[in-house]
Amino acid sequence: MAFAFAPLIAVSKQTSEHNLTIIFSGNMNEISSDKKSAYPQLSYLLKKHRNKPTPVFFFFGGGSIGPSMLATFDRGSHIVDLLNQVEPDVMATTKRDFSFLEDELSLRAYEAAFPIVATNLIDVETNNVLDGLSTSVITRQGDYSIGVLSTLSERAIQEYNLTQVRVLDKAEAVKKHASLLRQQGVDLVALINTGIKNDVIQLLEDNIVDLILQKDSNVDVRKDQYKPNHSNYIFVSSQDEFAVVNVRWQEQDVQNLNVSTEYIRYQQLFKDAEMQQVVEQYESRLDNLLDEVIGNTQTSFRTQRNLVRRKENEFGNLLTDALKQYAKADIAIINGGTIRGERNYIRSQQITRRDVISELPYRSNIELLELSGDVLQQTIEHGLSGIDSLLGRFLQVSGIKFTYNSQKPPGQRLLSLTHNGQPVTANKVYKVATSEYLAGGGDDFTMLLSAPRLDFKGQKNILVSDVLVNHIRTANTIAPALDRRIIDISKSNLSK
Amino acid sequence: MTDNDNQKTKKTSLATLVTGAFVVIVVLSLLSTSMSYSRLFNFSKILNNITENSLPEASRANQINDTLKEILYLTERLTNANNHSSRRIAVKELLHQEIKLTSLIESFDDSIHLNNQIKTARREIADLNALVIERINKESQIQDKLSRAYKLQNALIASLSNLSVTNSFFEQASLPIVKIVALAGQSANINRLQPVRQIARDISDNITRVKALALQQANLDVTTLLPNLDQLQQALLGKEGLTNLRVEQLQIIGRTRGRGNFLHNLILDISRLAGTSTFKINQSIVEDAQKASSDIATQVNWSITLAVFVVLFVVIIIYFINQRIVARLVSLNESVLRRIKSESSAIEVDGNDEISELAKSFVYFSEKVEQQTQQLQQLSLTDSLTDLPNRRAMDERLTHDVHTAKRGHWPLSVILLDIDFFKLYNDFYGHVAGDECLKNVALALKNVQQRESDFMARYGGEEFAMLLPSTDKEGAIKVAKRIKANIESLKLRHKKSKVSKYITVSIGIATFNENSIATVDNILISTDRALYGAKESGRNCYFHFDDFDKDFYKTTAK
Repeated sequence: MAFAFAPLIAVSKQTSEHNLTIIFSGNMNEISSDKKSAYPQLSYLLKKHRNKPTPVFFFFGGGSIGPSMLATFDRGSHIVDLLNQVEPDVMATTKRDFSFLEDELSLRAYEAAFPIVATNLIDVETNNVLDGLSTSVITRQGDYSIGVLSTLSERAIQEYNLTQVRVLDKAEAVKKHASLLRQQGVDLVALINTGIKNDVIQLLEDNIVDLILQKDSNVDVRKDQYKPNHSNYIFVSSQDEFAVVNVRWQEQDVQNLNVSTEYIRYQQLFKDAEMQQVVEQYESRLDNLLDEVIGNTQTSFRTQRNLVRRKENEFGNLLTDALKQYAKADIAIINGGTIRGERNYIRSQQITRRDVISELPYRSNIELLELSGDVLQQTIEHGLSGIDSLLGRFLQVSGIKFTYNSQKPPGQRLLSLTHNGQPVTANKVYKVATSEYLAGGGDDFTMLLSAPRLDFKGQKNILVSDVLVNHIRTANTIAPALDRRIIDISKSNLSK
Repeated sequence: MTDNDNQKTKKTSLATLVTGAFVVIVVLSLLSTSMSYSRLFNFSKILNNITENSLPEASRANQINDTLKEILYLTERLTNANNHSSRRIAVKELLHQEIKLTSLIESFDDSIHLNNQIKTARREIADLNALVIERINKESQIQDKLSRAYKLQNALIASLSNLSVTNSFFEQASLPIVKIVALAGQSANINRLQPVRQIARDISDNITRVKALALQQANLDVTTLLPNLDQLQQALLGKEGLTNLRVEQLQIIGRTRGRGNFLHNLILDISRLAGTSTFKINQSIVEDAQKASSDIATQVNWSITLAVFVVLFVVIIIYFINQRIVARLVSLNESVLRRIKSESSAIEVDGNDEISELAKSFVYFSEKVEQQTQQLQQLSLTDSLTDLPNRRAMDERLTHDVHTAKRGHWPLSVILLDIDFFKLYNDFYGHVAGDECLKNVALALKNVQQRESDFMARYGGEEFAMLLPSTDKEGAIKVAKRIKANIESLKLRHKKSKVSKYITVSIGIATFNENSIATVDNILISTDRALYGAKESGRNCYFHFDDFDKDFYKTTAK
């Protein structure tokens, strides 16, 4: 879409005060409105500000390539297309942008008509930045130029099972590139950061960078999230918020930036009609595929994050049962982090393909492993180690029952583990069905890396989501339920 | 149970055994054949099923795979098409392949879902095509605008040089103009949106600068300059201007790539889904083939086992036949042959069945034959009518008696007698009476025989001979007298006899001792002459050969 071009009155650099606006947004992986997404609102906001005389930069915080239902089909191309419509100056890279692994991100970069930056990430083969990305970008609006860097944490490697890239130390990388940018005479250096740790504020305090922008909507749910308190550290903590940052400084006095941030909720904004149309077009594209009804549920269940990542879940049980049955395994395990729907299902509700894919948007094949009893115990123990931070590694299971004490420190939580009523012992071996992601050591399940892969009858390269779709289609009526597979003895009431 | 019955039941044993054995062989063979047939029939059914159903399905599944691969390739070609002709070729071929795919998928279990996906793919191809068309068109539009910009640049520079302006003005004015068009060219190649926007802003700044400069020149005729500048501005910054077109194009390029990737993944999904069905088909083919293969293996084992049994059985039967039948028959044959050579050899066969019965028959018949041979022999030495030895016998006996007489130095007397006028008797009384007469005479002669060593024979039709070893002339004459008397006592009426009313005989006698004994022939001739002498003497008398020379005439006179 063509922006109505408003000629800019040349702002001479001789005036005493400098003034620019930065609009910051991120983590917009869903496009449907019931999923707290806001591309039309974003488009409206941007048009409004771009019509003003003040130069406006639009930095996009990334985290949007996946996961989403549509992205399961197009690996995030539609997000790039929507972003192309709103013309960011730059996009940062977060771990979620690796939902479909490194090569797909590179492909997206070639579809994007804007630069994607990743400062502390290198390709292990070339020792350079990943194909299609940049380590730093100089954005220009009017007479101003801002050098932009982006950092992410090591967690990306583990959580998304990345093998082609390496994450470098944030501070080192930022220092190096910030100085390069300064040498090129940029007005400001901005860092877009992701991660739960408090590891970048020092860069701000040392004036390595002038601004830090970060969005993390899970901060309230986690116990250990750090929230910074610095006017130059723009931290968006709600999913449905944009940040409009106004930056002023006096001539030659860049050190004293006057940064004022306005947090605008999505609901406060109008929707741009053109963008709305584009969004709707995308939504309808897969309707006939996704609306196919594959069954119905006799019981109600929910798939919110704080349920699937913390305790036994009905949908988790259904999924692991389906995997175990398909691969004719003794046991099935899957990480709760793979269940993304965050939805409620009621009794007698029809289940469509759309439902299953929104719950399981990641493309991971089913895999059958041979685990000895002690490796299985280690695996379960590892799954329990992230409960406090609601990490996705929490395991939903089938074929085993275990009890644990969440009050104990991580690594010492598992109390008992039984299979078919018998305790799991080190000398026994079990056939365990799981996803390719976990089998490849995803979510730090390194103990699974050396487990032998077993062959099983049936199509091998079939997605976990497809296994569930076929399962529901065959059964037609499902009744996901809890059956006391996972019990936390530290909870006084055992019913929930 | 009687002996006969016993024999009967025992006799049937061989027949039953052999029949039974052959029946069993036939039955086993039939069984084996029918089993083979039924298994092979099953196998051929399975093979037929595989050939008619499974293989075509598998081949169809492969065709689907190939078609999908082709579609994948064509998708790339479409996405990357740079001109309309290559785009059209790709689209046409895509639709062609997609039709082929739809018809191939019809028979699959999951065909509803697959068809949905193919429908979606078809729509996506159409959308992608539209995007590629737009992209290609935009490219040519951009090039048009760019060449227009160059033309305008030239026009502007030309009009500037035509105007009488100062050199400094010319430089100040022309530089931005050139910069503008250079920026425009640059923007056509930058593939980032914001830099294109920035270039637009730079272009705008430069145009403003030139306009300002031009307006500053008080006495400048700007009638050609300003319109051209406006046109340039429009061409580069207008709604349909180069920079906007470029922005749109970048967005379209991104979208096209994205759609292309989406379509690519959709095809892969279809391929995976079809792969599930293919996998099931292949599985069932493999299972069928494995089952058929193991069935055949079983069948082969069965057939071999059965065949081995049949062969063994046949071998046993052959051995049995050989032992119980052939060998015994051979031995029987040898026994018979031996028996033929010599009577004393016994025919002995063991067992109690047809062969032993055969042996018994052989024994019986060989005895019978021997009996009959004897009898025959007997017959050939006996006159059947009179039961007296015949001429042959007599000749033999005579030979024998001659030798005995010579050896023992004993006299031998021979009597030859003839029934007088026997022909007339035959003619008058008939042959039957004649035979009766001969019988009676023979009987009478038998009564005469007193000694064992005496031999009586019928020598001719009405002639009889008698051999009297160790008998001299006197003795012989006594015998002759007795003969005559016996015959007379018969009193057989003979009307036609010329010498008597009854049957009479003429008797010739010859005696030989070691001096006068000669050959058999001589003896017979002599005796015959003696008989002639008796006849000449008037019949119904006896005449001794020795009496020939002396009393011949005397006796003949009587």
